[in-house]
Amino acid sequence: MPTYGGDEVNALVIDVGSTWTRAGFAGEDLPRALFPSHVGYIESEVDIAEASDDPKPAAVADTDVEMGDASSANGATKQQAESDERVTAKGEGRKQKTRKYYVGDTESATWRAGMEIGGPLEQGLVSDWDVYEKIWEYAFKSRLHVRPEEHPVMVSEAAWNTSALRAKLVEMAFEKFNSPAFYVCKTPVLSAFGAGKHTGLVVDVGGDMTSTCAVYEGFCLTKSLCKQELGGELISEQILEKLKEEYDYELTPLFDIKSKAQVETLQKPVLSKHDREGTTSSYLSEMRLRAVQELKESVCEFIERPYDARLVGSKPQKPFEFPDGFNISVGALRFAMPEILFNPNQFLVKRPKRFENTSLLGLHEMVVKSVMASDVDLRPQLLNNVVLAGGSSLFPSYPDRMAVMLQDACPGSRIKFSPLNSKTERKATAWLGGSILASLGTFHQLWISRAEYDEHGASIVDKKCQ
Amino acid sequence: MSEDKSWQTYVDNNLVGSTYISEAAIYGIKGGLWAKSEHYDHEDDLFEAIKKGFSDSEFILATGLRVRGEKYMTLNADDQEMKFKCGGKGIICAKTVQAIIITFHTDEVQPGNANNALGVIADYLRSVGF
Repeated sequence: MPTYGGDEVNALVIDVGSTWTRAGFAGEDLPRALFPSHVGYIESEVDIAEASDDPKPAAVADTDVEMGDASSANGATKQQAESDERVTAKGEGRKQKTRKYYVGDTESATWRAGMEIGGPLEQGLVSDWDVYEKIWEYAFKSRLHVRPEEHPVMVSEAAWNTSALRAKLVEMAFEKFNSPAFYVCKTPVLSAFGAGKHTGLVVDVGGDMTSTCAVYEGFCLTKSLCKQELGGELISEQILEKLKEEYDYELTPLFDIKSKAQVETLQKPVLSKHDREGTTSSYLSEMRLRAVQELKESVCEFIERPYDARLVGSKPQKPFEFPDGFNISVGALRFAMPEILFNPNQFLVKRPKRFENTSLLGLHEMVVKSVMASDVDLRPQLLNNVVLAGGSSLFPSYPDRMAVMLQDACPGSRIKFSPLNSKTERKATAWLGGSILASLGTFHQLWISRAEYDEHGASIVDKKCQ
Repeated sequence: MSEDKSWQTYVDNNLVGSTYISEAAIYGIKGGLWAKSEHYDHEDDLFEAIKKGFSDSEFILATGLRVRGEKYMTLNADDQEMKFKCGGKGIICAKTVQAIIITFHTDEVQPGNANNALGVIADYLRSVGF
């Protein structure tokens, strides 16, 4: 059976999340490429007479398919914009819809008339394969500067991924990217490895989804999985709602600000907007979310015990100035927002429609649910090896607060967290696990090779990648 | 070719013969040992526990299996396939139309490869009504 020498071959490791994508080389400490998963795209119609009758990708003439060197530091200009054409036939008539994509931090943030923002995943599963493929292309070609056909690729998948989606994924890797070898691994397993564990309870608080899952000896116990569509993005949205509610303030993102003036604290902002025509609503809301992320990341933190108004009142306030000049002293808000993770039913400012008829669980309740769904003999070991992962877990005092909540919920059990990684590591715990796994000497027996795929078809992924 | 010989062939050539599986046995779905590998020496109560697991996955998920004095944790269990693990060793079972196949693999083998070896046979048997 063809094997790939673990030492010589540099595998690619790619972990596409709903909010951030991480890609890099196996064996390295950090992903070299870290960029938003939300990409910009402009949809336009093309006369079928111009393109060939048979829709083929990248067939339309005059567009600039310049592969800009993303490592150059200049701001994104149209020349450096990473773009590609995708011709998709839609509907009858002589028109075809085509999309031009803009992937990457600066490229997707630059204002363009009619540019929408879209993401590849929905509830953690790939739903837009075009965007997903574009992300891979951008990561490999523009950021890592590799030819994908020369490197085995290790991919992450959600613990609740389906057989059909996995088959599509392996097909994409072998057919579109011509990978010589492929492996897909569930995120909880990768996160556990990233924390140096093969067994443990993984708590992953991501941008879109939060999940808790038990991992035993490198195997994900899917029956123990507990997930909710509640993560960092929802917290950002709630902050926007709270700002509207408490200060009657509607955030103006940077792209729209022509000029601003210095104002006193809590004074209405004095600014003039560009008010550009052609700003899509998806772009506006994405830019708003990115702007409020700054607020979230700089002032929000967890209170050390379940939220108590008096305790919160005694904590110092933190000043914050928005891009349009509006500035406030953030008090209770900065503790109340992260509290959504432990007590969503009470702290959600505006309950999203999708939660209308469900009662939501706090993080600690999800952990208990996962532990209880596992083998009786395994439970103490799980609680003794709790792995904290996910970008939304970076709020200060998160591990301390989690320890208090878990100890309350499981009195008498020894709760221990995996070695606390540095903040940068926690944002890429799963990627790190993939990097470790793909560089192990023993692992080269595990890859699905091109030959095996050709022989058995996509179904081999269900058998070899558990 | 007698039926015993063909079930034995699956064990010798395809299961243990794949080099990923150390012990294997094929039972009829209602009971009755049809074929086994040379080193398979487990009593029928292992089969009974596995047969029960296929119809009551909740139970076996919580309890696991006890083999040769060691506890194997249940990784997953449904009505077609069950996987158990004890450190690096594992037990993988498949239920086809007429048979229940029990396989063991050692810690020197990657579980994915053992799983693949069994999976290929199980799928084939299901496709021909066995």
